[in-house]
Amino acid sequence: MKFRKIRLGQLGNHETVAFAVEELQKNLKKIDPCLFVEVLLLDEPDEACGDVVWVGLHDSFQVPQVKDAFWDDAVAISVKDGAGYISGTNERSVLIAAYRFLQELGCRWVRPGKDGFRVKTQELDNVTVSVTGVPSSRYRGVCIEGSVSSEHVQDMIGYLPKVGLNEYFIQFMLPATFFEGWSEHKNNPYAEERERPSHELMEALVKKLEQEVKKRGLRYHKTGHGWTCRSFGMDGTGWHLDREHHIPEETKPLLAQLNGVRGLNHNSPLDTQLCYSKPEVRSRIVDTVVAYCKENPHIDLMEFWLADNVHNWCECEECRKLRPSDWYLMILNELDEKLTAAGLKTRIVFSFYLDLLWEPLQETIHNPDRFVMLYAPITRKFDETNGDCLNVPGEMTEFVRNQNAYPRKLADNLAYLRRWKELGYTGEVILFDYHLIWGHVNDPGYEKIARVIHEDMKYLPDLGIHGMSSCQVQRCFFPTNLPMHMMARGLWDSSSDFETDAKEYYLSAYGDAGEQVHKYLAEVSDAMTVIRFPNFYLPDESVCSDYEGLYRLIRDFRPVIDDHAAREDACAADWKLLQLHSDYLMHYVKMYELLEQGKTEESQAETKKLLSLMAANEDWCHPALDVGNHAYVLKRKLRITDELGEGAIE
Amino acid sequence: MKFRKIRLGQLGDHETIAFAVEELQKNLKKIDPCLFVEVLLLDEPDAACGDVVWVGLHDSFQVPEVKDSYLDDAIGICVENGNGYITGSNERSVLIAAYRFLKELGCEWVRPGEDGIRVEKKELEQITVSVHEAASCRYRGVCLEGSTAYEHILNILDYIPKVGMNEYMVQFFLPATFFENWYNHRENPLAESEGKMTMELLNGLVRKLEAEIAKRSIRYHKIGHGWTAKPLGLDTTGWHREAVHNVSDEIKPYLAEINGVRGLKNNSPMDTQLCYSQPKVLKMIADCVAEYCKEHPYIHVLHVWDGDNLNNWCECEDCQKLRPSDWFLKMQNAIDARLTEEGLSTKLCFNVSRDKLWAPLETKLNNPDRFVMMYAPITRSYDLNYGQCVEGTGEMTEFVRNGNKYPASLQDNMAYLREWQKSYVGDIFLFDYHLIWAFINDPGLERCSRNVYDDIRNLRGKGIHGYQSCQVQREAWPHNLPMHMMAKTLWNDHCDYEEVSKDYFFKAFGPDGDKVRAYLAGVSEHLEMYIQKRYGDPKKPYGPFGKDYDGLFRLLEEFLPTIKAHVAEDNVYTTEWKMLEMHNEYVRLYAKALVQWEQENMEEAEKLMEEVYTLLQSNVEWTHPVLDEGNMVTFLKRRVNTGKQFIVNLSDN
Repeated sequence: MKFRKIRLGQLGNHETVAFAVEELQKNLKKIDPCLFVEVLLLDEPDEACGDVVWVGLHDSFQVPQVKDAFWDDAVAISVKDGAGYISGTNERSVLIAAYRFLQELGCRWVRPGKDGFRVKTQELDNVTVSVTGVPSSRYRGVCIEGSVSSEHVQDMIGYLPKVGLNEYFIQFMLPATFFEGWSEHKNNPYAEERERPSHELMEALVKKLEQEVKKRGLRYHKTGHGWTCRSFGMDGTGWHLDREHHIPEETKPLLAQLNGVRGLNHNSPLDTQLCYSKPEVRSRIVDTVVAYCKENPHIDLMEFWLADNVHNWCECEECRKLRPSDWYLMILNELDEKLTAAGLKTRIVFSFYLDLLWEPLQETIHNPDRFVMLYAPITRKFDETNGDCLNVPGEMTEFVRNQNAYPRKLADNLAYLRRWKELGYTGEVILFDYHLIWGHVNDPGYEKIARVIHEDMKYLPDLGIHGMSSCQVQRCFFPTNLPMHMMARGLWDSSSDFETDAKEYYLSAYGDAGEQVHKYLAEVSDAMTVIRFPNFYLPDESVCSDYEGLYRLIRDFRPVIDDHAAREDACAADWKLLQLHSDYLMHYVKMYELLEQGKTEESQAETKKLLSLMAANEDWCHPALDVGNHAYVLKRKLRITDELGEGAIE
Repeated sequence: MKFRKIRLGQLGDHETIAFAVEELQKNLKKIDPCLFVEVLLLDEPDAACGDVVWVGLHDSFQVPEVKDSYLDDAIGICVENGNGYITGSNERSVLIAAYRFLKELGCEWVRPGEDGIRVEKKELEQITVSVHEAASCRYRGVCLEGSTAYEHILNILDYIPKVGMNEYMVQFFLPATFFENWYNHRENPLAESEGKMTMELLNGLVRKLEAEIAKRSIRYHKIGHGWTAKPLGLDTTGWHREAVHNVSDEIKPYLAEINGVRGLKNNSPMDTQLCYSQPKVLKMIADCVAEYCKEHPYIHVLHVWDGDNLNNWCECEDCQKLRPSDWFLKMQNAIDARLTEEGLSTKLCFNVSRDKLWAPLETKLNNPDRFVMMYAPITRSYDLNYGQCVEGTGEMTEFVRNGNKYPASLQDNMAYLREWQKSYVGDIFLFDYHLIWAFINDPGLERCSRNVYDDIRNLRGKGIHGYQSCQVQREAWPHNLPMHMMAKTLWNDHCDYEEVSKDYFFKAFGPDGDKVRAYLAGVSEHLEMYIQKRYGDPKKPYGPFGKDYDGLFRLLEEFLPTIKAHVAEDNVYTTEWKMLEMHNEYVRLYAKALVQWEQENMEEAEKLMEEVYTLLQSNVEWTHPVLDEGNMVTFLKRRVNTGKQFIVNLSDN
C-alpha cells in the first residue's frame, strides 16, 4: 500500500504566493482526492526537505528572461517526480504558473464562476510537468463594463490568472453605473426588487474587490473618465443621461462652449468636455489626479481620460487654437511634472480615440516613461482583423472640430495610430477594444467574433501594440466563452492556433460531444453575417442567405442539447445554456428575417419576445449572460426606443 | 423573479475576519447556490450601505460580557432580514460566530475533513438569526498526539473553530514523533514507509500549520516537554528511546542523579529530569525559554514542563530537600523573572501530573498572572466523572521520592488537585486522555461520549477553566460524537446530552441516525472495558470484558443489512455508513477475541486479534482521515501483552 503525496513548498509569506499554494492544494485534491497535499513554508528552498515542489520566486529557478520582471510575466514549471519548482518573474506569474501546472494535470476553467471548472480526475503519481513560457503581450486585461453584481466581478477577477490574463480595470472613481445596471434591472420586467445602491455601499464593494485583485497580484487599472467631473463638483460615476445633475455655478464657465453655450453635453457630466485652454481647468484636473494617486498607491496604472463621447470639444477662441490632442498632451505633461514633484511613480494611461485620433500639432509628451497610450478604435467594425490590416495603409481624414467623421475600417483606425508613432510617440500602447461589449451580440454563434478577437490579439506585437484591455461585459459566455478564451490564448501566445485551441475548449466545456457543439455553433455563426455591420447599424442588406436552413440546423441539433442538458454532470450547466440559446436563436433569426422582409413592427415584436426570453431566465443564466447589456444592444440596433415594460412581454 | 442576496460587510483587514467572511461566502453558497453573496469592506459599519450583515468587531455591537476579551470567547449574532451583525469578543470569536451563523442556517460539521460537512440546502430569504452566547469554558483545545500527516493536522485545525473550540497545541519543539509515526507506518506492515522526515522538512510543515493557526486566531500552545533537553543540546523532538543520544561528560552533572548515577532516564532526554537544585540549571532553562519566546512572539501559551515519565527525580542531597513541585515552581519563577526582565508577556503553562501531583510545600508562584496550570490526571480511570468526585472523597498517599504510588481513581486524582488549589488561585485547565487511549476501550463510543460530557460539564464546579484534549487527531471512527460532545459541552456546559447526540447522529448518518445511535449504544453497553483499568485488571486477567456476547453478535448481525443498504446509496452519508460497515466487522472480530480470552484461549484470542489488526491496517487508505490505525493497533497490542503479562504473573504466583 502506497500513499500518493505531493509536497508544496511555499516560499515566503507573499499573499499571492500563499494564494497560489492554496489554489494548488485545493485543485490537486480535486484531480486526485486521495492525494496527500502537504504544504511547507520556508523562505528559501532547502534540499534537506527532500522531494518538494517549491512555489514562489528564487534566484536558483530558471525563469525565462523578460525586460522588466514587475511588468512582464513569464512562467517556469520544472517538476520531475514530484520535485522541482513552480515559478515566474513575479508573484502574479507564480499564480499563473500554478494554474498552468494544474491545467497540465487536467484542470480547466472554461468560463468564470464555479460552473466553469472542469477536472479530469486521475491518480497523481510521480508528478512531472515541464513548461516555460513568456506571454506575447505585456498587457492582458479586462475592463469593467455592463451590468454587474459584485459576485460577477469577483468571478471575473478569479478567472483572469487562470487563463494567463494579468490586469483588471475598474472604470470611474466609483463604477456606480455598472452596479446600478444590475441592481436596477432596467431591462428585466420580471425582477421584483430594484434598488439604487448608495455610493457608500459601492465604495465598500469596490474596496473588497480591490483586495481580490491584490490577492492575485493582478495589475490594477483605475478610473478613466471622470476627472473632468470630480474636479468640478459633478457626478462622474456613470453617464446618467436621464438624471438631473447639479452643476455648481462656478463650474459653468469652465464647461466647453458649444454653439456659443457652455453647458452639459447630452445632459451628462461624463460626456462634457471642459474649456481646456483655461489654465485653472487644467490645474484643477491635474491637482485632482495627483491627490488621487497619492491617496491610492495600490493603483498600478491610473487611467486619465477626458470626457467621453463625440463632437463636444470647446469652441471658444482659445481652445480653437489647438487640437483636442494638443490640449490633452498639455495636461498630461503638467500632470507628469506635478507627479514627479510629489515623488509619485504611478503610471498614467491616456486614451487615444474619437477626436483624439487626430495627432497633436504642437505638443509632445515630455516624459514617455510615465505614460501608456490606450488605443481605442471604438468605431471599428469586426469584419476584419489586425492580421488583415498589417500592410494596409488605411485612410485618414482632415480634422474638423466637432464635425469629424470617425473611421469605421480597422485599417483606417490603425492609420491614425501609425501617424502618432511617426510623429514620435515611442511609448507603450494598449489596445482598448470592444469585441465583447457589443460586437459579440452580433454573432450569435460566437465563432466569428472568437476568430476576430484571436486574430486581433495575435498580431498586436506586429503592430507595435503591447497588449489589450478588453472593454467588455463581465458576462459574455452565452452560449460559450470561446471568444474570451481565445483572447487569452492570443495574448499569451501569438502563434497559438485557433482550430487546436477551439477544439480543446469545446471538449473541455461540453465533454465528448464538444466537437458536435463546435460544428453546430460554427455553422450558426457562419449563417448569420450581422457582424459585418457596425455595432448599432441596422443591416440594410441580407444577413442570412438561407433562413430555412438555419432554422433546420437549430431544430436538428436541439435533441442533442436536450439529451446532454438532462445529464447531471460537470458540463450540464453549459448544455442548459445551449438549450436557452437554442430558443434565443429561433427568435434572433426570425427577428432579422422579418426585418429583411420589411416587416419592421413584426421584427420588433420578435425582438421583444427575445428580450422577454432572456429576462425570464435571468435568475439562472446571469453568470453567463448580461441580460441588461444584451437587451440594450438589441434594442438600440433594432431601433426599439420604448422601455421594455409589462406590456411588451408576451 | 427575485434575486436573493445577502451583503456581508467585512470590518477591517484582520486576517481572521477576512477568513470568516470567506467562509461565510463559501458556505452560504452551499446552502443556497442561487444566493448572491456580496462582500464589502469598511473599517466601520455604515448605515448608508443599507441592509448589510457586518462581520467583525465594533463597539456598537452587543456581545455578552466576558472577563477578558482576549482570552474569553463570546459571540453576538443579530441578523434580522439580512441586516445586522456577526461579532464576538475577539477576532477568533467572530470566526466562531460566523460558523455558528452558518449552523443556524443549516450547515454542520460532523467531523474534521472535507467529508465532514453537512448542508441542508434551502432558499435563503430574509435571513434572521439571533444568538448571544459566551463559552462556558475559557480553554477549549486539542493537543497534537498520535500519528499524523500534515493534512490530518490541517483538518483538525480547520475543524476547531467550526465547533466553537479555540486552542491548539503542538507538542515539542518539533513534533517529529507524530509525523514519523505516520510516515514510517511503524504499526502498519501493509503500508510502505514514506522515507525520512528531516528536521528541515518538519520545520517547514509546522511553519505552514502555524500560519493556518494564525489565520483562524486560534490560541496557540507550544512545546511541553523538551526544556530539560534543549538547554543541554539534546534531542527534543520525541521520546526516541531506541535512538543513540550523545550525552557528554560536560552535561552529565546537570542530569538528575538516580541511585547515585547521573544519566538519561530510559535512554530518553525527554524522560530525563535535571538537577533542579542547581541555580545554574534553572538559569539555563530560564535563558533558553526567554530566547525562545523572543524568537516566537506568536506563541500565546508556552508550555514549560519538566521531564516526562516517572520515578526520575534527582536524588542528590539538595534536591531531596524539596518536593519536585517545589523545584518546578522555582523553575517557573526563575523563567518568569527572566521574561519580565526581557519585557516578554508570553503566558506560561506548567503541568501538574504524576510526581508533581503532590503539592509544593513551600514554594508559590511570584507572578500568578503569568501562568496557567495544566492539570493532567494521566493515571486516572474512566469509570467516574468529575461530577462524581465530591469534596471529601479521594485519598492521597504520602510523597515518596521516586517511589510514589500514583492515584488510579479520578477521586484520588482530584484530591491532589484540591490540595494544590489551596495555594494556587490562577487558571487551570484539564489535560485529559479520553481520546488517545480510553476511547479504544469503548468501540461503540457511547460510554466515552457520555463520560466526556459528564467530565466537562462538571469542570467549572471544580475550579477548572477548560479542557485541552490530549488526543489522536483522527478519532472519528466510526463516528465523532465524543469530540462533538466535547466541543458542545465546553461551549455550553448546560447542553443536553440526548439532544446533542440525537442531532449529531441525524446529521452524520441521515434519517436513520437514530437507529445508528441505538445500535452503537447497544455495542457500548455490551462491552465494559472503558470503565475498567486501561490495559486490564491484574487481578482479573481473563475479564470479563463485556456481557452477553451472544446478544452483541446478534445486534451486529441484525443491523448489518441496514448498514449495507445505506452503503449501496451514493450520498453525503455514504462514507459514514461505509465506516460503520467496517466497524461492524471490527467489533465482531474483537468481541470474538474477547470471548476466547475470557475462555482462557489466549492463542485463539491472539489469532483473532491479528485479524483485527489486519482489518484496521488494510483499510487505512480510505479510513485514515478518521482512524489513527497505528495508535489503535499499538494500544490493542499493548492491552493483549499486558493481559498476557498479568496471566504470567498470576501463574507465577
